[in-house]
Amino acid sequence: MVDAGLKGRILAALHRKPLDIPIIAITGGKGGVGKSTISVNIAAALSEMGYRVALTDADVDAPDDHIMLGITLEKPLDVTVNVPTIDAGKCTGCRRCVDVCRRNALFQPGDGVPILIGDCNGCEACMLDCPEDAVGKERRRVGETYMSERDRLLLFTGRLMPGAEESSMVVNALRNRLHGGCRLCRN
Amino acid sequence: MKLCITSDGKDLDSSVEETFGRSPYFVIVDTETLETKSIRNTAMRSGHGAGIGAAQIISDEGAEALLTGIVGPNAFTALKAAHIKVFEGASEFDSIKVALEKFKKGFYKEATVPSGGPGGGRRFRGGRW
Repeated sequence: MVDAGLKGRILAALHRKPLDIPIIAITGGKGGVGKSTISVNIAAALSEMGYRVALTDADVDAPDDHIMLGITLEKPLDVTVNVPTIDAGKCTGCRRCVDVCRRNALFQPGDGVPILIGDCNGCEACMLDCPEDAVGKERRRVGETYMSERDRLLLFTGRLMPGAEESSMVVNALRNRLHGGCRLCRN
Repeated sequence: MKLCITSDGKDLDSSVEETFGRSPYFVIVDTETLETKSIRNTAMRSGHGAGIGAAQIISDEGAEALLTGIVGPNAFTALKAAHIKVFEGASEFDSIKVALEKFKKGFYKEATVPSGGPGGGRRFRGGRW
């Protein structure tokens, strides 16, 4: 149930957005029901009618709009997350980083320096919480975004690396790239 | 030696739990004095990394060895880092008391590699939750 206040705020937010660039979202929980087919066909039809279209394939686990369109993915950009590296010289062994990690990815043997063992998702809580500034950042690549162009159609694609879990990071990076790099949005 | 046994309950008559990270209790027995202590595994309901969290708990309790059914790769790495010996192969059909007797007779071998795969997470297991 959406309460009346929230409903009002959603409506207000919708009306604040300019309606000269319509955004059509296509989604669904079930696989293989035709999300990509519909998206690609709407995009192709609109671009054939003379409109400029930015098609965004945010299905980062299995992006395939480019396959349906016969487009080669271009202009790759890395999506990275920061995983902790602990400076043994600065670490006092207070264990705040271990306690703050909701994925139990850090382990502190005895009174030693914590080590990264588990699946870090790059939330950076350990880096923020360390009072000694002993938790450094190390980049880990989790995916790529692409921007490919054919005539009036601009295709944005996100792809998650096999085995990586950070799909939301890739989707966010894709959205930022769309808003920053899309000529349609900037006019 | 302080031996930690994964357990279904708090005392020596409880059954052995075959998983490490999501074992409800740990019974820590001093193999010389037979002094026992039980602790609740607060890492049991973690969304991720229960094995590492459990290793942190028993390492903090000063356990020097662990007796359980199967240890996964992450927990094994953590236990090795804390210099805790790992003994696998305990059965859930034994009580803690029986498992301890078997341990003293040298029934269990020390594991050098983790025998279990990565954990299955906080999955549904026969309505025990």
